[in-house]
Amino acid sequence: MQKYAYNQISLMQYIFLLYKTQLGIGVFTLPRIVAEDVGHDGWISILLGYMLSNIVSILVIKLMEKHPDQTLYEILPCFFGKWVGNLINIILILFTLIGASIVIFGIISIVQVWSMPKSHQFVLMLLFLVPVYLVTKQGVRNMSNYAQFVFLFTMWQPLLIMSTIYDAEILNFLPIFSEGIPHVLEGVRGTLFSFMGFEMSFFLYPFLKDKKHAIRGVIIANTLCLNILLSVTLICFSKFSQEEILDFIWPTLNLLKTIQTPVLERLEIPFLSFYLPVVLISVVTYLYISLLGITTLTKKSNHIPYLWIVLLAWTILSIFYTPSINTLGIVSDWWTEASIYIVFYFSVFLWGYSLIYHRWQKRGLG
Amino acid sequence: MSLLHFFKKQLQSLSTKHHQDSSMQSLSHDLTANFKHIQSLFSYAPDFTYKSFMSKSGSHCMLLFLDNLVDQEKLNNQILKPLQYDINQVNKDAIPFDRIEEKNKISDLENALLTGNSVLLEEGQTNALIFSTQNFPLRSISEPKTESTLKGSQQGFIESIGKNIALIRRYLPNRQLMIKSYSVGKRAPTQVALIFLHDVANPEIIAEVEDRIQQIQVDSIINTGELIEYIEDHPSSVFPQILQTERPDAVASHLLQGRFAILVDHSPYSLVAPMTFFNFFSVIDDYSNRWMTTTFFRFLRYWGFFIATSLPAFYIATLTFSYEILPVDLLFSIGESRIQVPFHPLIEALIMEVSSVTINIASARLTAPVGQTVGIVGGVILGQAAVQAGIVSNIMVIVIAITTLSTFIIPNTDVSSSVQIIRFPMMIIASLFGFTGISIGYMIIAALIINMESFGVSFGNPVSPIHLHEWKDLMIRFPNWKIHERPVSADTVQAQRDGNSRQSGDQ
Repeated sequence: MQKYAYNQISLMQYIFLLYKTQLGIGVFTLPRIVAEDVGHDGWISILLGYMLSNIVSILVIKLMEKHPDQTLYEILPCFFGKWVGNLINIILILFTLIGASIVIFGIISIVQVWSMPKSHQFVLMLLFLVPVYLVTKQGVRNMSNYAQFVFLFTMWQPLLIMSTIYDAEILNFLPIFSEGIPHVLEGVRGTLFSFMGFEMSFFLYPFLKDKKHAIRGVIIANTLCLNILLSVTLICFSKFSQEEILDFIWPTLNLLKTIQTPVLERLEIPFLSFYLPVVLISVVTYLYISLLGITTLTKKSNHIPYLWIVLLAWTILSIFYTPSINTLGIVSDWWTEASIYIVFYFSVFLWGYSLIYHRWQKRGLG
Repeated sequence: MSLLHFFKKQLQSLSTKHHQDSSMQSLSHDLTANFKHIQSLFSYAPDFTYKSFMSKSGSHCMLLFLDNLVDQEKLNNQILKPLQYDINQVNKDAIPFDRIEEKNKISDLENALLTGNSVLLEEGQTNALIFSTQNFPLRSISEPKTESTLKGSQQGFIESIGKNIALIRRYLPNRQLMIKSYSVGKRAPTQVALIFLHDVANPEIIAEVEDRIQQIQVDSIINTGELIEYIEDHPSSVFPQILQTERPDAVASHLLQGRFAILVDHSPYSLVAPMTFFNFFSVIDDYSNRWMTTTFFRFLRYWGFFIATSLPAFYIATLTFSYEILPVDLLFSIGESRIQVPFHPLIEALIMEVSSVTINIASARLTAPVGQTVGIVGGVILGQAAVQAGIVSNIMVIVIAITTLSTFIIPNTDVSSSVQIIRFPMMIIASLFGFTGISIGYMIIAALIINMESFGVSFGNPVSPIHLHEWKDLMIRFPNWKIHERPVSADTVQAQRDGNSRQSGDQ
């Protein structure tokens, strides 16, 4: 069953693919979301969200270790039988496909607002789909190579964000736990959207060459992601007051707006443009995983026909329907809600189930 | 219809049969008949020459050759003179000549004559002697024209494969240096040599190249550039995947790193593969300069690539979409210089860019004095006049000048020409979508590079996929004694390059 061997990826490729999948449009909105949900203690919620993601990641890897050559799509029919398993598969496919769609429509709307107000959504969609197609058609190895390139290409961006730290106000963070610990715990829910992406290890694990270090890989990816999210939030909180942040839709971009150099001003415009590769990696990964599910379901080996169908569907959708920012917010809230059930509850359940399943099977064999 | 077809087929088979018959024949005992036969094959060859003489032993002999392809002096002193005055028998071992073959097929003799050998026929013998008397018109070894160097060797390849192999062997006098020879082309077979280090290069890659060379079905290969199109992985890509070099020291260095080289007879260029995109940014001189200097140069080259692909695009994007990123003072000075210009920045850039590339291409083919004139008229006078006439702005001239200069800092001419091509779509996409377009443009370039594989090696090595220890020779060139491994991108079977040359004690 070494059918993923031809497309194997190294640990470093695995880390960067996960990390770049996690980083998406969440970075732009996260400071506002935690400010809405928790207030100035929001950064603690992010830390807790990180820990939660790590725990679930470890469970996922532990589960996958028992099936090193299968993706989740192949495991589920084994566990629950053909019908139920495939039903869950279809839910997963829809989940990843909707995830990809939210990200691509979301980034189009951000680009429209910030730099290209006169361009029609359809034109931007066509433009973005060219690299998405080029990367997705080649499979996991090239996707992760691409993630590595994007990481190197965008290394200056965290530095740029860090450089805004001058006249930060430490007092903004005090007092800690002002509204009580339960309030902070409630806020964890909202941060999970930004960490989403680590669940891709459900599907990427079979491609990993060096499976011993899978847990380390996921944790490194989570940490790299936390590093960005936490520093963005901390800097936003230290520079803007809580009331100010609630006024911004994308506080991170407003943060960059404050930079002025002798040669360039308004750095958020080039920043946003050169952040596009990072966002499109998330699209590519979610898209590929859903295509992988479809090919598993239909027992085909080539995902490119389905890729064309999805891209065509997106293009047509972008002609007739322009989601407003509010609609996108609502849809992504639903998706986050669903992801909490699918990624968090379901993986814990699956992990428990697998323990029982394997014990039962052993007994059955004995 | 079918009858006609049948006759045609018969006729064809008849004529090929006849042709085969005449060339597959062997020599007979009759000297005159043999000579007549060969002469009939060369009926329209005025350079076909023969000398009829009596050997010292008293038998009638004939020496055939193609004039100007053979060394007359060798012919006279080492073949004719001994045969007529010194030795008593006409056979391979008695004649004082270093390379003699015995053949009896007419076709073999024909080939031998065509490639510059001389053929000796003797009365009553069914075997002819073939002497290697080749002396092709060749130029002497001179310094490489397209890859000049300050510190490296001043020898370049010439148009003879034998001499070129000798040039490489001088650098690598090693038993493991393997040279496999093929003849490519049906009508005019050209000798092609595949060179590699047997214990270093990956046998799978070598087998793959061998297979690709043997699959070529073509009349003839004139230059190495033609061969590339037959064996490279992505013929429709903008980027070169195989290095063409005319420097033997560069080839030797690449062979040592585990790559293979291909030489084609008649061509002063050698091919080196598998290359990655980033290999094209280093040259052999890098290793003889001080490592800090080289590092600085390499940074400049990558910067040059970035500027050459996208500086006009950035300028267009800033002026058309995002002028708010410029501080007000700078915006005013740009506005002032553009005040007379009636065109969209894209048109302005296209005018300048097309003229600049035109001058560039024109001056490459011109002789030096004319080239200078073209440079001055085209570059200086035209640029100045265009600005004064208000067709382009001053700043656009600066932008295009910097872009053109940056193109030439890229050491490989193939890459710098592909950069010139990439620049145009980048400008167009920038004029349509601003910075977003440039970003997408770079993503497409990156995706194209990453999707490519050259002889089983990812073209994006060592940046994507990241191979950190190969970064010792990427942008920063570590001191030579710190680079212990051969590059992963060469996919070698023997990774270690050297030992520890500088003990930590003696620093």
